[in-house]
Amino acid sequence: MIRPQWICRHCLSRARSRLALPRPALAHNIIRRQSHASARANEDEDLFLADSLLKRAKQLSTEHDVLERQLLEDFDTKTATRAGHLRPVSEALKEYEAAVENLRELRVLASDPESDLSSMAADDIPPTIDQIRTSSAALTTSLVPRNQFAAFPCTIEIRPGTGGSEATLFANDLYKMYTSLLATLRWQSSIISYQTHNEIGGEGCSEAIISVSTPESYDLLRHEAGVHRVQRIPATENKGRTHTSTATVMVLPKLGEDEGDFEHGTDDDPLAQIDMKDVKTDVMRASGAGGQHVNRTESAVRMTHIPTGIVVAIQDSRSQHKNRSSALTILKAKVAEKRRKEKEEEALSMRRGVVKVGAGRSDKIRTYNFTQNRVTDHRSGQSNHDLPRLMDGDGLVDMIEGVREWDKQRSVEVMLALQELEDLKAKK
Amino acid sequence: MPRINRSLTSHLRQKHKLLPLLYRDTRIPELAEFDLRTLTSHILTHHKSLPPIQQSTLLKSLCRRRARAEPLEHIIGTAQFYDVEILSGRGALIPRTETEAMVMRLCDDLKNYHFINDKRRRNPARNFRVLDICTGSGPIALLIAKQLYDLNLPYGFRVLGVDISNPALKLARGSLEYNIKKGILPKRARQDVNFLQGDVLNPRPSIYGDGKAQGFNSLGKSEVHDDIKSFFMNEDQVDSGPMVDIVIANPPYVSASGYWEDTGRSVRLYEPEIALVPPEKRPDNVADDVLREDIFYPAIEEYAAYFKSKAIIFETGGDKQSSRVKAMLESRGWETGTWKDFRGIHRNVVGWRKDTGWNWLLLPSKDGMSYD
Repeated sequence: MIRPQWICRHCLSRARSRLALPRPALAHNIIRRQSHASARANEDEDLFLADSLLKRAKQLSTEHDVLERQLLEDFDTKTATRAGHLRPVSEALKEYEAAVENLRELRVLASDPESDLSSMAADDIPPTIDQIRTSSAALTTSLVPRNQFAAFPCTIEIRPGTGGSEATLFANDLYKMYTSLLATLRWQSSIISYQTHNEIGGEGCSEAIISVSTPESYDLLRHEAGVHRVQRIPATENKGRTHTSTATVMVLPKLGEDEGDFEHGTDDDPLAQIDMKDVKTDVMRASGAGGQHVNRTESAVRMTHIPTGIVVAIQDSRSQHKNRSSALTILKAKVAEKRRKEKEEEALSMRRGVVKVGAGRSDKIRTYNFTQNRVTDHRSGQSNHDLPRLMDGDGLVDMIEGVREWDKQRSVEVMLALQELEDLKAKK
Repeated sequence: MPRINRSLTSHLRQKHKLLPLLYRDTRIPELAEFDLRTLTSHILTHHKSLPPIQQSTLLKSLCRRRARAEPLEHIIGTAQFYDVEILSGRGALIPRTETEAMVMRLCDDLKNYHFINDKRRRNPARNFRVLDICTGSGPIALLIAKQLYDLNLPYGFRVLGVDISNPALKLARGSLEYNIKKGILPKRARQDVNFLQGDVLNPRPSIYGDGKAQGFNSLGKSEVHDDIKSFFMNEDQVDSGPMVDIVIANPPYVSASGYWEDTGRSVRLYEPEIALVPPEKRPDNVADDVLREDIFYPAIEEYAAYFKSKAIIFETGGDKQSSRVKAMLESRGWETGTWKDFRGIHRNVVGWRKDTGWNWLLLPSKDGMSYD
């Protein structure tokens, strides 16, 4: 039977007299009871994790136990790092299971009216529920897979975007901001390329590439990749109008000798499969016989995946072949990331019941408004009202941490949405 | 050389005052920028302690050298050859990217197709043996060694590089020590890798010609053959069957006319001609109808045949030369194929003996780094 969600009182009264529907009070009662019941069910569903998630957590936790046992026998750095990554899962799972067990026992006790402990048990239920909430939240967060390149050092590339000479000035400001950020973090970095030229109103930068050699730096700095927008009155402006220009920041992981074990983006990842026919490689080299005939040994490589339009440019090493293979690795990972994002957006839109979620990833990520002395990150929604100090690298870490937190929560939601989608498919 | 466009020079000068200098030899703006970047980072890493003013004068003098067409590798002193670093100097050819790609494809294929078979991996009879002929400053031998160490073969391996040029061998031995010192190669590489002076074109009766009547024994009289044999022979290992697993070579393959027409100025000025163009005097064991740029290939093939190598891999100058070398190998009973380089030129000819199971040489590389 199709029941309309809402019927106007006038219509209802007319319909009642004609169709002899039950009395309104009764109908109201039914609806309320129904909603009450569903709320109850939801509460329990919210409280306990989905079976599929629990199953995954249990798998990872057993893997952790096995690895720990292996480590006791003989120590191996690789195993140790993997075990270290799994430890939070295992701990959170233990906590969660203990809390659930607790709740079950308390409920049994509370439901027994003859026992003296029933009232005490009933008092203990709410804190236990809170405990389950926190531990299940911790467990879901720990289940979110780490970024596949999180352990790597990285390179930051800054290039001016739209806005002409004002954009090059802003690119230079960003370059200074990142160098001072790296100085405050005490991360080892070296400047691969820094090309400046004089502009009216200061020094403009047409390209800056900073290589950060601290491991795991990619994990933090990857949140900085994107389009940064500036709103200010340029020195060249004589009518006092505010201009908007942009600069692009690219952050790429620097793959070393040991490429580690990725969870995604490897050959085993079905999303990372690409046809080499779709990949166009540009090498900065004139055409000709090649081989022994020429000794142009430049090594920069640029690869384009034509169907998705993803471009990767690598010049880390002096060996062209090495750059080529790391470009291919990153290209595969980026293609996989893009495909995964599409899948996630689909799942998220199903979950939220909206067609399109958020703005595209390619949109601006942060606005630096000099006239209002304000920096706003468009992802976390965080604002900083001391722009000059932020441009000196002060407070930038907090802002990135905010984005990281936002990213974490988003990943949790994405993971849940994907899980739901999978469960739905399994049911069908 | 064509004149340099003035507006371009001023455009480059705007970017960096040293770029027009570097543009003189490279003739591609991006390449000039690349050279500048490499030289700057070289100074920043190797001359860290100098005061900035001296650093900038040093950079200027290095750029001047580069403007005189001196290769970047000679200025820096080393060339990066994938994992290993090769000392570079006037005595030898600077290793090329195409060669790098050839070695890496071979090593990846060995890893993914050959040693995947546990019996081959744990072959108790003897270690894995690679013979690199015309090794020059040793890039092929050292990179193969590095890659094989990463594979952790239980019975080990041996790599031997042979070259006629003493200055090149000096660089090769220096590169071996350099990589050991930097920790790229382990210390036992001193035993596992060796370089040997020898003339591959030294005339001796051909296996395929009249020499056959005298039997193989007379062929073994050559000192080079004996030296190779004594390096690979190991007292505690039983030796029967093939003495070498792979013969790999990047011999001189540029024709006399091609040397003047196709090579870069920097190549002619700074790299030894002996490493590029085969000698005019044809050895007796090479037939008369073989072109001058091809004479190394049949001579090297005789080594592969003598040592009963399972496979042979050549780098060649291009499509036409590849098809000639392929035909030569086929006429001598090899199964053959070619590999393309990243520009789509047939750069390598591979050959393997029937029934050795080495036909994986023709499979596309697993990591997508092959271009056939």
